[in-house]
Amino acid sequence: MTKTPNEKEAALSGAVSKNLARARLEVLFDAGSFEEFDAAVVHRTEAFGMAKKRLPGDGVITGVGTVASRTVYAYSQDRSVLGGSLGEVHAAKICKVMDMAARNGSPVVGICDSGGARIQEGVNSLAGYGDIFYRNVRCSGVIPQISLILGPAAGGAVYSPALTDFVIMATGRSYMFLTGPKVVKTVTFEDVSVEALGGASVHASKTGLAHFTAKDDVEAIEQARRLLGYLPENCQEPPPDIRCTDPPDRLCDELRSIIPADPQQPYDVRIVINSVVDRGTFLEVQENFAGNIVVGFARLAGKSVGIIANQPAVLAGVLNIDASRKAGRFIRTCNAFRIPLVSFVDVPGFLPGQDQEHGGAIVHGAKLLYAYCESSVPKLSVILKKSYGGAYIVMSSKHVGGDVVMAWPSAEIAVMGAKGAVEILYKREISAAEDPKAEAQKRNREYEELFLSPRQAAERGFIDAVIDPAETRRKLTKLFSHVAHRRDLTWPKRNGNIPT
Amino acid sequence: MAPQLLHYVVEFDDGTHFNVHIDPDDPSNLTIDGVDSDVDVATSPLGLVLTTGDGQRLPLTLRYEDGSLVAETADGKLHRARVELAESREWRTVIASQPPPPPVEHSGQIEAPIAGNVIALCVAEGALVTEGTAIILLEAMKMQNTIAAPLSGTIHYLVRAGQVVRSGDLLAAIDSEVAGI
Repeated sequence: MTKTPNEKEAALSGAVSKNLARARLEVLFDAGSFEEFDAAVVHRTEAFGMAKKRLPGDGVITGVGTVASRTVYAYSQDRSVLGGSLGEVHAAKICKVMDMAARNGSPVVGICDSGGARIQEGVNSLAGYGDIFYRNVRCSGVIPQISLILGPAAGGAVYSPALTDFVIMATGRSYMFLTGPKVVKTVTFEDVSVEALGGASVHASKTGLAHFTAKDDVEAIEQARRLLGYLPENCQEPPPDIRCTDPPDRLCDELRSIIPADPQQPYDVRIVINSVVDRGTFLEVQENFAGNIVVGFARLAGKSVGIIANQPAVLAGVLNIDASRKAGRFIRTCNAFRIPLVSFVDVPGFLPGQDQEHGGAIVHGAKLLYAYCESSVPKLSVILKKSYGGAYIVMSSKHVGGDVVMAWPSAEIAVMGAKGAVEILYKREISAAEDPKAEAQKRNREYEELFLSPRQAAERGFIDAVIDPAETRRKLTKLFSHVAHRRDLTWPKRNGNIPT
Repeated sequence: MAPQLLHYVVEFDDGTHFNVHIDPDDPSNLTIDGVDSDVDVATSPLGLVLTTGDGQRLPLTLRYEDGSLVAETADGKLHRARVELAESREWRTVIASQPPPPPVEHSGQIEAPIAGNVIALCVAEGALVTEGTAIILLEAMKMQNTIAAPLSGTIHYLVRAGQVVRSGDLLAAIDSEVAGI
């Protein structure tokens, strides 16, 4: 769609047309707060008849406004102008708002809806992508960066969102892939649709690239607004507090009966989370990816916290490659933005198997371990039931820098479950016994008595207290304030070397 | 000088809505109009009362918080009304005028999410299931995992109870076309 000369004049004179890219920004920002920059900027390409297609703004709207009264910088690609393709000055406009956001210490939101690189501009277009990627990385951990994918993002365009803190996609509208279906067909003879190759559901459930999915653009933008409410302006500011209407000392009686009597029966850990945090504040991140670990933001007595919880209702809550990647990244996001961590632990261990081992379970598990060890925000945890083996150590234990570790009476802290342990410990005794079955049962009971309770860990001081489940919220909110000023000393270094 | 009033639209889950004009400097100064035919909002000695289409009367609180208006009704369970400035409502219609995206299809193939032992098939072969229905109980890591139907349709099991499966094995197929859904 090309603009008529009248529209060109309108854009230059400051009058705005009600197009989609602008509507998205207006919905993102508090009404009337958006101020546009560089509306008159034009490209300077002559080749391929581009001199005739010189449109003010060059296919991206950039500017600043407020979200819930806080400053946020943003850009929104406009597919109605040269397909939203990224050329030299289009990129320069994006870089300009990113630089301003970084200098001012304010979040930046990018709304991506672009046909990709502007081929007519050659290497200038590639340089533009490079300039953006460089800024994405320089800003990483300094200011929150959120990407909304509300159209196609292919080739180089996918890397900028991938470098940001959060990616939000809309079902049926958003696609992200390195090479599109046509190229895939030429190279591998595979027939695949854009949706199946890189649609919202693919990135929400298989790759984990999308942190949130929305049914439409408006919902995606609302999610970005809600998400910003949990994040600080930059890494030197604390996340915003809100007035808490839910009593911090509220008892959670329903948690006394949440753990089923039958150890084989799962329960939904989200019930525990929703019951403990301030009512209605839990915002789950990557809901459909690696459901065996639940992560998200919530508020505890009005303060922003990051929740990490093993989910017994999915794959028994086991830690696998995807769960480790998901939680590891989330912990680093929280640590970068001073958001304390609250972990709810019920984990049978790491998932055994050839797929996992060959897929790099060690490296990815190490990533989660690294993230917990490295983080210097306050870390509180509650062991609900199983906490076995390496997974016990990883999940916010005292040994990896946990500030407060509490356990419910149902907690089981051991190297492994009873059956496996007894088979190793009493192999000889069991096979030598007159009645091996009875002997195994007897040894099982002994083991269970010793380890399938929080007793041994409490005696060693590895957990601070065994608490009544109903008191979980009260204890967490109370202790939270006492570890809020945590400081960690570190040695000078260039960058830690996180396993990837 | 007359205060600059902000114009909000309060909308409930069922789509009913009304207008609020509020003074940001004095949130107690507010007027209400444009009440949808299905709802009635009136001030009473106890504050605002919302009467819904089916005659329910719900106390309604409006708060001005962090630069935005928050409306809450307490009808047993708390639910929040959607509140937005009238101006942003217009912009939303621009976004909503996009052509709808094509529906996303599911292949209907259900794979084992983890290696384990099929302990039960929850419905009869060929039965009609709706999305979210539990179809298979799979024991893994000494726990029962419930596998739910990802879409509605008729189910065709590809495993039997007691069978040991590997991660990624096909467990069942759901045909949504046969059922005409």
